[in-house]
Amino acid sequence: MSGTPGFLSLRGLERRYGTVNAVDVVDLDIGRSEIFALLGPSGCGKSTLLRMLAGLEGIDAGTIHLDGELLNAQPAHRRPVNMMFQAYALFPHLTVADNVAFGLRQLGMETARLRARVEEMLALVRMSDYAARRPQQLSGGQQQRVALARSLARAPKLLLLDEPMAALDRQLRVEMQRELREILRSIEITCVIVTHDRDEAMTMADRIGLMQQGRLVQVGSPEAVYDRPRTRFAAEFLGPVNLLDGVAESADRVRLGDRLLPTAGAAPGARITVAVRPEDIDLHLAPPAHGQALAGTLVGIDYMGAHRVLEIEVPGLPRLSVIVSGSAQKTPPPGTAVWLDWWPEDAVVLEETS
Amino acid sequence: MPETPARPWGRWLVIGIPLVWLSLFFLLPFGIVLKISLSEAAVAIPPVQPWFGVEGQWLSATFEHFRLLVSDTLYLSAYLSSLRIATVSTVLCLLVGFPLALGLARAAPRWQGILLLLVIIPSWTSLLIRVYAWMGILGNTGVINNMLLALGLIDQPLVMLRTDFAVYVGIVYAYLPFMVLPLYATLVRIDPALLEAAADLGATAPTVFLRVVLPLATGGIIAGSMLVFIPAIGEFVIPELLGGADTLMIGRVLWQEFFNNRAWPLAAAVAVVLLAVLLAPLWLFHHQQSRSLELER
Repeated sequence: MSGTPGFLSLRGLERRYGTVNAVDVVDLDIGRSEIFALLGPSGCGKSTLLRMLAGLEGIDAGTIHLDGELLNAQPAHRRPVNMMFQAYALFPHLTVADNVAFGLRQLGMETARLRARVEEMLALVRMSDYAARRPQQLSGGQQQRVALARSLARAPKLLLLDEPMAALDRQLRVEMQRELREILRSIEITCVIVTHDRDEAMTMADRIGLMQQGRLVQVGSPEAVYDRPRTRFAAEFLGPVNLLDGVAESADRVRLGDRLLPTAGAAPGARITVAVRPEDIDLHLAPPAHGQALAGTLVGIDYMGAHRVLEIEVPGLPRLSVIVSGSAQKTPPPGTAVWLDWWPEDAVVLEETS
Repeated sequence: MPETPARPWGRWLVIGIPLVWLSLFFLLPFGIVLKISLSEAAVAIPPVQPWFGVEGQWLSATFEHFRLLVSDTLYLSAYLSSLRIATVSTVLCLLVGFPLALGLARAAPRWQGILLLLVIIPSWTSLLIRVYAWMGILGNTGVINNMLLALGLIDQPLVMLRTDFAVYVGIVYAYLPFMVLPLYATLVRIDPALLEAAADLGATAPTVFLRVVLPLATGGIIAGSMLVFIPAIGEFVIPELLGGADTLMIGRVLWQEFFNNRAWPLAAAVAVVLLAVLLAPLWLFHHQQSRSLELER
């Protein structure tokens, strides 16, 4: 994490629609110049939370402080917050330059300074050559750059990005993610990104806040949330995972079927679920010397280019996925007997066992 | 050899039917009106001299009626008065219709259909009956005056009927749906995110309206204004029934020349000039339509 904690500070934030809590008691601190991603499935409340920050959505309880200032009562047009909208919401009747100038005009900025600022912003997103065009004459990627320039023009204290890549096709997305991240880093702006795409969140953000049913269920760096998910939902949402139910024999051993596999931080005697990422499982073609590996049969292979996903059946357990990389010739054929184990810290004990 | 596809036939049909329709029901009658306007008047049935076959002259066409339109100030002031009444009515329709259309466009989608129907339903009744109803409302012993008298707010009835005021009321009332419907159609298509984006960029509600809603509604404003202005300028029934003796409108003049004075050529000339006057707004309307189509592409 970079910057000072609490530049943006949310306390007990709530938004209710009838009996449903769209945003349910959210507490969160975001540091200055931090890029924070709100990640979650559609309907989890992440967009509502973002709109509450922008002032486009009411607040039923709780507070929002930005740079020490209470935002609750400030209407959207007075907040030092700007948003890049999902489909960009560029004004179709204005040129690119006038779109970028729109927010500056509301500040009553004098013409010469306004022009200089517009040029500066268009240069930042490398769109100077398109100043006289209309938004509908631009490609999706170009529209995104203009939208970014427009939302940065007023130099907001907080930038909000609502699904910034949703309107782009897959190839362009990866390219723009990198570019957007570079721009945001270069101007050191505090930023909240809403996305349902875990790759986007992990690529762009310093920290991720995972949301489920209006609640912030886990907050941490992309590595932390990926490697140490706290719940089944977190484990599954951040990527492919093997979820295995067993009984903790000791703090660092879990009984799966008739074998004891390594884990870390379990309460002895408890029924637990451990989450193991497919790439963290070690595949052996002969039983390891310690004798506590899961014995199974290779039943399927998916070739994914750089790596392969092996499906392995272990009696008494759900089918496991194992990712192996390296030379394709080394992959054994289906039907081969294999043994699986992992390092203790790779088998994360989840909070819920259901 | 492969058969020629039937497509060209269909295309000709699509272009041909409106072409035939327009030629038969617009160009041909207009040609007849134009011819009458250039003919000498006559005491005959119809009261027009033929172009050919009059003794001594091989062609008896004349511009005398058009010359009269320019020289007699009655016609000029009737045109100007019609333009004024139509313009004021259009502006009033816009002022009343815009908030109405905005309300419709912002209403919950399940209500929009019903509300739109409420806008349209009055026009299912004959215009004549609705204008008579306004006579009952605005008259000296009408609903409004009776109510105000009963409340003691006035001791003499307000003279509303047979004034320009009544004409404005009648025109705005009758043509409001033609303003509201195109406005609604453009306003409902404005992405609400644009309004939020404007507010997010620091625009107050009035600024959002002026800088975003209004420019994006230009197409609807022009379409609605034309749909009100063009028929209003030639309106006859409303000024005849609600207007006073001094309410001068070109539609009334045309009626009087045609039926009372049996001056067909003069009436025809009035109609031809009216059409020429309307060509300017029609061209503007067309220009705007093709421009907005271009913008959307």
